[in-house]
Amino acid sequence: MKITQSSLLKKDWFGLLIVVLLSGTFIAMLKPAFLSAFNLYVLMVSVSYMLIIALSQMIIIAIGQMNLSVGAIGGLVAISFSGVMEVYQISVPVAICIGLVIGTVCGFLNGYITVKSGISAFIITLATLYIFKGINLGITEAEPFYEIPETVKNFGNAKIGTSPIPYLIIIPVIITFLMWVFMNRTETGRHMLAYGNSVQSAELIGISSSKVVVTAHVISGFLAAIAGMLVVCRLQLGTPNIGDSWLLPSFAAPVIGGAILAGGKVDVIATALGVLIVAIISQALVIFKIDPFFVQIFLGVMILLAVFVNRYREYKQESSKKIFNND
Amino acid sequence: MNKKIPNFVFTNQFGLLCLVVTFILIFSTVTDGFTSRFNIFALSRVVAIDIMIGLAMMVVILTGGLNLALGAIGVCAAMFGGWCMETMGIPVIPSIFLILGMGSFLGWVNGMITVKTGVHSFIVTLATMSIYFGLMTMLTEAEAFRRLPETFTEFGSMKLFKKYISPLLLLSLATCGALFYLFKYTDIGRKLIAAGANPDAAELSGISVNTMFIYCHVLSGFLAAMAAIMLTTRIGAAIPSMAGQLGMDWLLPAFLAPVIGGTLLSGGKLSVFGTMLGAVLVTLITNGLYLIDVGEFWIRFFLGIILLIAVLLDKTREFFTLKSVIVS
Amino acid sequence: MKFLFSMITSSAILMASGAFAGGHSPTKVALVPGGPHPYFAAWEKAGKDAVKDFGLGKADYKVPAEWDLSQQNELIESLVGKGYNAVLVFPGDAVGTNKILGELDDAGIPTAALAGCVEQPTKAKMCFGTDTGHSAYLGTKQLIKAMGGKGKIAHFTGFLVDPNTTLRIDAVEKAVAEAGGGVEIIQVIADIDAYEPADEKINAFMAAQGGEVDGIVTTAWVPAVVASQALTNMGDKRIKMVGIDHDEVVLKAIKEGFVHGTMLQNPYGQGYIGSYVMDKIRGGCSFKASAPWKTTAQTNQFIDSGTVFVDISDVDTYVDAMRGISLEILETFDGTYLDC
Repeated sequence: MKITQSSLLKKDWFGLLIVVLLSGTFIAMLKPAFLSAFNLYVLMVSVSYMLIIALSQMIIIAIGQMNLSVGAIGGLVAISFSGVMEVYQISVPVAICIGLVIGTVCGFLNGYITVKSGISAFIITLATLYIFKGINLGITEAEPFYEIPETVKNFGNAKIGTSPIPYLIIIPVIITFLMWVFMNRTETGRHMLAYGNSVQSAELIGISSSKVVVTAHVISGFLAAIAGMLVVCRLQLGTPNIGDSWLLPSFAAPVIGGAILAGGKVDVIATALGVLIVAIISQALVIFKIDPFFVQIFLGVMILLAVFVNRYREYKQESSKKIFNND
Repeated sequence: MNKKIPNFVFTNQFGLLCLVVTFILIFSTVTDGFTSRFNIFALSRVVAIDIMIGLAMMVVILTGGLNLALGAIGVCAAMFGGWCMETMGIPVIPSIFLILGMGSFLGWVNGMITVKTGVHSFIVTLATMSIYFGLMTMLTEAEAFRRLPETFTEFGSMKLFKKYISPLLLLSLATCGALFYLFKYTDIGRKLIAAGANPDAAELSGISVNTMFIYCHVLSGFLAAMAAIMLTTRIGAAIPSMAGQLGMDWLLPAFLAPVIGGTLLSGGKLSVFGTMLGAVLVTLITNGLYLIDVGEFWIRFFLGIILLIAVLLDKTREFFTLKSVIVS
Repeated sequence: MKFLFSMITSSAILMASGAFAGGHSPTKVALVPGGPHPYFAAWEKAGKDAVKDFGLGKADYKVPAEWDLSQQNELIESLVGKGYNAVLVFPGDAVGTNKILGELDDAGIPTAALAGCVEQPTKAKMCFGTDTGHSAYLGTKQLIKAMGGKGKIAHFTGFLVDPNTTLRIDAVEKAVAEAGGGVEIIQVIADIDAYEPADEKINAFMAAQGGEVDGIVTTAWVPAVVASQALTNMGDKRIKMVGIDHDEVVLKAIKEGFVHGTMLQNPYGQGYIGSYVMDKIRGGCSFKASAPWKTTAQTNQFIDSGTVFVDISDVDTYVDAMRGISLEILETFDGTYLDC
């Protein structure tokens, strides 16, 4: 029994789960409205696309890189998705495919240029961030697309039966599961983590860097595309500033979930719990009528706290293993 | 040793210089008004601020890190300065020192957290960016300081050299000179570079790498505050939105200038004049694109493309330089 | 659909002002909003129509790629470098923009603040826009009336950095104070002039306080759209809401009865008449010393471009109301304000 306890404690997600439960209970005790059906619905809606955004960033963190263009890809897909439906009257499934293709291509470009040039993904995705966002603004001239088909709008606002569960959350949950399988149960997923851990040793055991990096960026782009389209469903319009505010939360959730930016260590479930924590507390701030500015500070403090906690745990592990590692 | 000249030809700075000259020639022939007094003056002012922002990022890139909180520090420093001058009635000169002190302090906080936690400064400054900016908006309630002393704000409109050049540009050039001297000729500057280039080796040779990294963050905060002062004199008020949401609008110029200028993101190599030329190039191109009328919505697209081309070119140049070295 | 309003207005004015057509004046007007925002879209057509109808050299709509004072300044500077000689600007900051307006004035380029004002002292020739404070005040009055004179109100508004936002918050407070003790503001949510944060915050608010609140007043475009959508999605007709502007979503929600009404502004008229006035000033006209300026919290050189409350009874005919206002301002402008 003791063994299972300590191994549970070692899991990143275990501590987070406790934080989620405690904060949830605490808020519900002070404000019972927190557990109302409508509030749970709103909470799940905001969790739904944030989950995908966080996973889109997480997979790049896994290989030890960063993707600054997640929001820009999401925005470009969002306006393309709604744009083709409004301007060319393209049917919804085709529009979804177009959106996914655009996201995938954007991700592929990120990965391909990074690998071929050997320049850090940070700079490449900074450049593509401006390129994708520039195309977005150039096409829309900052004007939203309004003519969203009813099916799309309904999908963004319907609940499953009489439950407070929004349709919107179905896809994110499935994707979270698939990502968990991918990262933990497939060879490519393990290769990514190995690559993130150490590029040299990964190459030594025959992992192809270009394959790993390009695959990760393609998945990232694909996920950003899904997130962009989910936001369109939710907002019921395709506005060019979708994605502008994704950068901070996209890093916040994986880092709160214990991801190490140097790569090689990410946890899908912990990332998902990270998203949940951010969402619960953002909502609590509105419920308790706390100054809206505080949301910003709060996100920052959460990231720093997570960083300190991770660091402390690493330190504990290291000292228990008596390994001295000075970096 | 007569290789000096060809060596310079192969440097990034020379390539940049050629590009700058080419673009000046192109824009002055293709567009109306590029060489007008109004435009040159306006350019000199924009360049001045972009150089300063680029330098502020450059000194942190030297450590192999990043400072995403650059804009947030700038805005905090400017708002603090506005508060000093407008609310507290502190005279201009002491206020300027207080602003610079504020910037340095916020940079110091970044440096301390980075060094103490050993976490990459990207994540640290991502967090402090939202903390600084959030605290600033909370304390000021997003109210601008708009009644600054005229002696302070006039500086931004002053015109020198037959009204062609802003004194802000001279300030930036002087800062470039000072930094060049620091990194080239002083002991501490060489230590900073050594710490960035190879922390382990530097540590072994008795340099306190952590202290050096903190110095770099302090310097970055200081330069960000300088940029903020310049921007404040230029718009005549200290405004929370002066660097965009969370101060993120400074990030593009901040990265463009040093990266185009040949500063390595992995740390340990920097080029003050490269950064300067990088800022000049970016400002020129932005201005030129406005004048050619590519449509203001496409400007960002082109800036992104330019950044991409610049880093790719730099990579190719490195490749060929290496090859030519091996060949000779 | 969104151009319908501007098109009808323009054609009406076009007929009224055919006399202006003729040779092209050297006036090149730049219409510069604070950043990309759907509100300003009508300026583009307004500028083009002004060129056609009044014979201006140019009247182009130029948008800074972001809501950022520095980018706006840079854009304006390059436009002047390019030969534009009159600037109509939505100020990126109520004071910060004055600096560049002063510099333009030194260079002999007339400017005016459009849709939002700069604070005095300023070199802007006028501020031509919606009296946003007054509009928010009237909107809140309508809301309180719809609520039967009592209840709890929430106020959603835009960028805190927008010079108009503070005026709006104050005006809503004033209207509530005048209603006596029966009405209370329970929450002001600001800085949500982008769709994603607006959606998140407004829905979180609805979830937490939807049961308590009786009325919502929104005084910026995006919150109006998002709040209309939220009420429509909830199917809630108990909460009364007064919005702002003419976004399709808001108009549809009014027709369907989820939103009580909206305060319309006149962006087309601003761009169209503003361009006309710039040409006049460049042609040697100046404002009369006795011009009947209005005074607002920011400036005493204000001209109201008109604001109208629209509810379900006149949502289909609101274009007529705005057209009437635009025509009236244009017809009497020379005589009322200018010395030529």
